[in-house]
Amino acid sequence: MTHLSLPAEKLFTPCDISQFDFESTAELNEFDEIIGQDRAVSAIQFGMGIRHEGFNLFAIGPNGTGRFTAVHQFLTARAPSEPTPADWCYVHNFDQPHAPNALQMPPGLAPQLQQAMQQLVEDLFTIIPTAFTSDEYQAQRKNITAALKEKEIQALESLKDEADQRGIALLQTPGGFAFAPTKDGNVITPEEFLRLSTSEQQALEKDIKKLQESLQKIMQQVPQWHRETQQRLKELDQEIAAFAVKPVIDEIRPPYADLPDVLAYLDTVEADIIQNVRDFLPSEESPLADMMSPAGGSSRPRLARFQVNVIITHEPDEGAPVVHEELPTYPNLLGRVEHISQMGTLLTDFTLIKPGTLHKANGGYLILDARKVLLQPFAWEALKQALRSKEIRIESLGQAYSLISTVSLEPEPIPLHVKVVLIGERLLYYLLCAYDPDFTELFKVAADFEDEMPRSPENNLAYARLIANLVHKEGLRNFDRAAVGRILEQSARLAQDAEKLTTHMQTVTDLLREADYWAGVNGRDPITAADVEQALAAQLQRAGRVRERLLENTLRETLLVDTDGAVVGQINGLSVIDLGGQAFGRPSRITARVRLGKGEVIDIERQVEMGGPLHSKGVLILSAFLGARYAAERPFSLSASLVFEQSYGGVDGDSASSAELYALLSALADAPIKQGLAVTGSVNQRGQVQAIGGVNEKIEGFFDLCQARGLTGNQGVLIPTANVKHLMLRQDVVAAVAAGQFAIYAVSTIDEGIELLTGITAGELDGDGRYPPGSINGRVVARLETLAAKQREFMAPPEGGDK
Amino acid sequence: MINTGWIRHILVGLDVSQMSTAVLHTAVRLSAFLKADITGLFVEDINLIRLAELPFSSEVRYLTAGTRPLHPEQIQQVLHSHATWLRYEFGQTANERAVKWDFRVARGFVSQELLAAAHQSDLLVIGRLSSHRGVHKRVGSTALTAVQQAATSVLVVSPEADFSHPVALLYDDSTAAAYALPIALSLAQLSKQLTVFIRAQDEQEAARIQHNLHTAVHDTVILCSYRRWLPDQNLAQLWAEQTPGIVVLGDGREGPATSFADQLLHAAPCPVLFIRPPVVSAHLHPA
Repeated sequence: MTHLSLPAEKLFTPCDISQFDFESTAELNEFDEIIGQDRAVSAIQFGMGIRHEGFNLFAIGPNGTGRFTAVHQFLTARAPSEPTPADWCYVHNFDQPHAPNALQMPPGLAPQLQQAMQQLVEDLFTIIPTAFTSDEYQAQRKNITAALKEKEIQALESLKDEADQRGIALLQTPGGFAFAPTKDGNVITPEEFLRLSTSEQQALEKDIKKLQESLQKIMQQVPQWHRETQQRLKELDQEIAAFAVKPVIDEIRPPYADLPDVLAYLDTVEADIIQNVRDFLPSEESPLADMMSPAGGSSRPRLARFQVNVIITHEPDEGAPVVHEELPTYPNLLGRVEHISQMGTLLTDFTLIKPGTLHKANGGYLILDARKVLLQPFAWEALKQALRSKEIRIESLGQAYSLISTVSLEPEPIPLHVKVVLIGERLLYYLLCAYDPDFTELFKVAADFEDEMPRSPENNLAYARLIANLVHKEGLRNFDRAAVGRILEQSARLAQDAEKLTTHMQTVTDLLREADYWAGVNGRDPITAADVEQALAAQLQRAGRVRERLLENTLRETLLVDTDGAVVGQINGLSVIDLGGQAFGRPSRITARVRLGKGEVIDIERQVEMGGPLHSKGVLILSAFLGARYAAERPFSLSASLVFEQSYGGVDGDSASSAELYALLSALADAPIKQGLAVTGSVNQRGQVQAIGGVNEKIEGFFDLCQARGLTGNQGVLIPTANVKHLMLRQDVVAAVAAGQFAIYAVSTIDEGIELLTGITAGELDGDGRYPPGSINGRVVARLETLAAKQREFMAPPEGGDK
Repeated sequence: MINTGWIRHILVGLDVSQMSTAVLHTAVRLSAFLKADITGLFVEDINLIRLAELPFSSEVRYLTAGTRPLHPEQIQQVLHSHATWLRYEFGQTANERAVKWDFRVARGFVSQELLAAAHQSDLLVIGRLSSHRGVHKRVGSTALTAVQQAATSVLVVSPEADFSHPVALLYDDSTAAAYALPIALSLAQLSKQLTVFIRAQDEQEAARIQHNLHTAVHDTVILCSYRRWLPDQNLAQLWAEQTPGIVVLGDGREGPATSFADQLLHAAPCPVLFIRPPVVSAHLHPA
C-alpha cells in the first residue's frame, strides 16, 4: 500500500517567488483595487448605481474580508462626482410653536441664513430702540396720550364747571368721585344742609343726581377712550416698527429669492417682529422668566424664536456624503430633541433639535453594521420606517411609547433620499430574509464577499501589491520577495487550501504588523521570510498553552494514546480544537467492542448526550455501511459500541466516522490496528472516504505527539484523498515525511484504509459472492455468521422441551 | 457765600396718590442731603368727612361707573388706614436714609392745614398734583396755594424728578437768589452741572452778575454755564435744549404772582424749588 503514501512535495505547495519581478514591496505601486471579490464589487456597483426604491445593499461575508473597506472605497471614489445634497435647517413655527418647520436650501446657504438672522436680531436691538426714541415717534405718542388726557380733562372740567355754577363741588373719594354742595368753597356741613328749605334741599339733590348721571356717562366712556388710545398707540408702534424692520429683512432676502419657503419664513419673521416690537425695547425682564427659558442664560430668551437651527450643511462642491455610523442607536440614526432641565422642569425648543446620521447621509450613502443596528432597541424598525416612508421623522422614544409626559416637539419631517449599505454576516442576512418580510423589499441587492480566491499567478501578484499597499498605509517596513511569498503561503494555509488564498485580510494585516515588529526586534529592514516565520511561531507559542498541556498529558499517559504496537478494536482518531484565533489537532483514542446482539451500533457519545447530530449521523452511516456490506442477506446479530475514550467535552462532526468504522471492522475481524497511525475522514454508505476540515491541524497534532515520543518511521496519518489539495503542512512535518520518518496516506475507500491499518488484505467478493477467507472482509463475514449461529442456537427451543 | 444750614426742618405733605410716593422719596432724600429733620403730614380732608355725613351722599365708582352710598364710618376708616400706611412707608423710607423723622395726622381743609404746619418748618415739600384721577391738571390747587401763600420755602415735586440732570437756577441778584445759589450748588453735587439763567435789566448788569457768580462758584467742582433770562421770554424755552433735574429760584417774601407761579410750574417738566430766606437770620444774611 505504499502507493498511498504521499510524497513530501504534495504536503506543501510553496509560493514560487521567481514569478515576482520585484525585490521588495517598496518597488510596488500603490494598489487600491479590491482583489478576489469580483462578484461583490459588481453587486456594489449595481446597488449603488440603480436609483429605484428599495435597492439598498447588504454586504455579506465573514468579518475581516474587507467588506467595509470595499464598500467605503467604492463610495468615497464615487460620491464626490455626485450632486451635493441640500442644506436643512429648523426654524420656529410662528403658528404652531410645537411643530418647528424644516427649510431646505441649496448647499452652503443655511449657515448664511443663520448668521443673517443672528445679525438681524442684533441689529434690531439698535434699530428699533432708535426708531422708538426718535423725536417724531415720541411726539406722535405724546400727542395720542395727550389727546386722551385732554378728552378726559375736558369732559371732567366741563362737568366741574357746570357743578361750580350750581354751587356744587366735584370731590375725589377713596373709590371714585362725588358731588357735594359748597359754601365759600368748602363742603357744607350736614347741619347747614338741614337748615336749607325742603325745596332747596330737593333742588340740590336733583342737581347732584343729574351731575352724577353725567359723570357716569363720562366714566363709562373712559375705558373705550383708553382702548382706542391703546389701539392707536399699537398702530403707531407697528407703523414705526414696519418702517424700521422692513429694509433690514429685505437685505436678507436676495440669496433666497428662488426659495418660496424661505421667503415665506422671512415674511412671518417680519410680521412677528412688528407684532411684538416691544421685545426689542429695553425693559426690566423678570428674572424668573429668564430662568424658565430653555435658552438658559440668554438675556433675550424670547428672541430664540428668530434663531436658525442648521441641521445639515454642505460645501457646495463636496458631492454626496458617505457616512458610517459606529453606534447606530435610535437617536443617533434619526436625531433627537434635547431638553434642558431648569427649576425641575424639562424644557425644549426647536434650537435643541439635533440631527441623526440619516440627516447627515441624506442625499448620499449610509454604511451601517447590520448586527449593531439589530442589537440597538428600536433602531432597525426606525431605519425601515424611514426608508419605507422616505422621510426622517424625529420622535422621542419616550414620547412614542408614552414613557414620559414631558412636552416635546414634533419637528416637520425631512424627505429622505439615501442609499443604505448594511454590512453583516451571512447567517444574519439569511435570517433576515427568512423572518423579516420588509427586508427583501428594502435591501434588494446582496454583495456576497468570498472567503477565498484562487491562488493563481495573477492573484499572487495582486496579493503582493495589496501587501505593499497595507505596508504603506500602516507605515510598516517593506517585505522582501521571500517574505511576500511566505505571507502568500500562510494565506493559503488560512484558506485551508493549497490552491486558494484567504480574503480574510484582517488576519493577514495582523500577520504583517507582527512580522514588522519581529523585524524591528531583529534589526532587519526589509522584512524577511524569517521574520514572518518568527511571527507565526510566536502566534503559536502565545496561544499554545492548551495544546501543550494536552500534549504533556498524553506524553505522561494521563490521556491514553498509543503511537506504536497494534491493538484490536482501537484506533487513533483526530479532532480539531478551535480556541479563538488558534486551532490545533488532538489525537484521541477510539475503541469499538462487539458482542451478540440485535444488529445495532451503540454510539456511547450519543447515549450520554455528548455527541452532536453530525457525529450521530456519521455513526448511523457506518452502521448502514456495515449492514449493507455484510448483512444484506443474513442476520446482523451483533451489538457494537463505539466511544471516544477520555472525551469530556462532547464530540461533533463526522470526520471520525471512518476511524470508528475501522475500529469496528478490527473488532469484528479480530485484526489488530497499528497504533502508529491516526485516521481522519468521514465515510459514506458505500464505504468511500470523504473530505473533512482542519486536515493540516489534525496531521500536525498527531505528528507533534509522535515526534515527542520519537519518530519511528512507522507512524503516519490516513487522510481522505479529497483532502490532499488542502495540504499546507508545517515545514518540520514535510521534512519528516521527506526523511521517511513519517507518512501521510491518501485513502479513498475503507478497504484501502483497513489494509493500511492492519496490514491485512481487505478482500473482494469472488464470483460466488464470498470474500476470501483470511481477508478482513472474510473474517468479518465469518464472525457475523458465527454470531448468527449462536443467536439461532439461543433462540432455538431447548431439546425435548416440547415433549 | 451763605450755606444751606438754615434749612433745619422739612415738612412734607402726603397722601395716597402715586405722586405722593415721589414726593415722599424726594423729600426724604433732600432731608438727608441737607441734614434736616423731616415731618410727614397727612391731612384728613374735612370736605370728604362732611360729604359722607350728608344724607344723600354717594360716589360714582372708578371701575364700574356705578354709584354707591357713602357712610361717615367708611370714610373715617379709609382715612385712618391711609394714615397708618403712610406712617409706615414714611418711617421706612426715612429710616433707610437715617433721617430723623416725625409723622403727624391733622384733620381740616388740606391747604390750610399744610400752610399752618409749614410755619414750623423751613421747607415745605408738596406734590405737583393731588390724586385726582382723571382730572389731570398740570398743577393742583393745593400746590399752587402753597407756593403762593406759604411763608417758607416750597418744593413742588413732579414725577419726572431726575437729579442726575443739571440743576437750573433762575437768578436775579436778589437776597432770595443769594439764598437759592448755595442750595442749587448743593443739589448740583450729583450732576456736577449748574445752568444759571440770569435775569438782568441789560447786558451790562448781566455781565456783572455773571462775574459775581463766577467768583462765588469758582472754588467748587460744579461746571457752571450762564444764560440770559429775558423778562418777556417763554419760560419753557429756557430748558428747551436739556431738561433740568430741578429748577431752583429765589423767591421774595411776598410770593410770586399767581400767573408766574402757574406759568413756571407749567413750564418746568421737573421739580421746582422756591427758596424763601428765613425771617430773622442776620448772621446768615448774605455778606
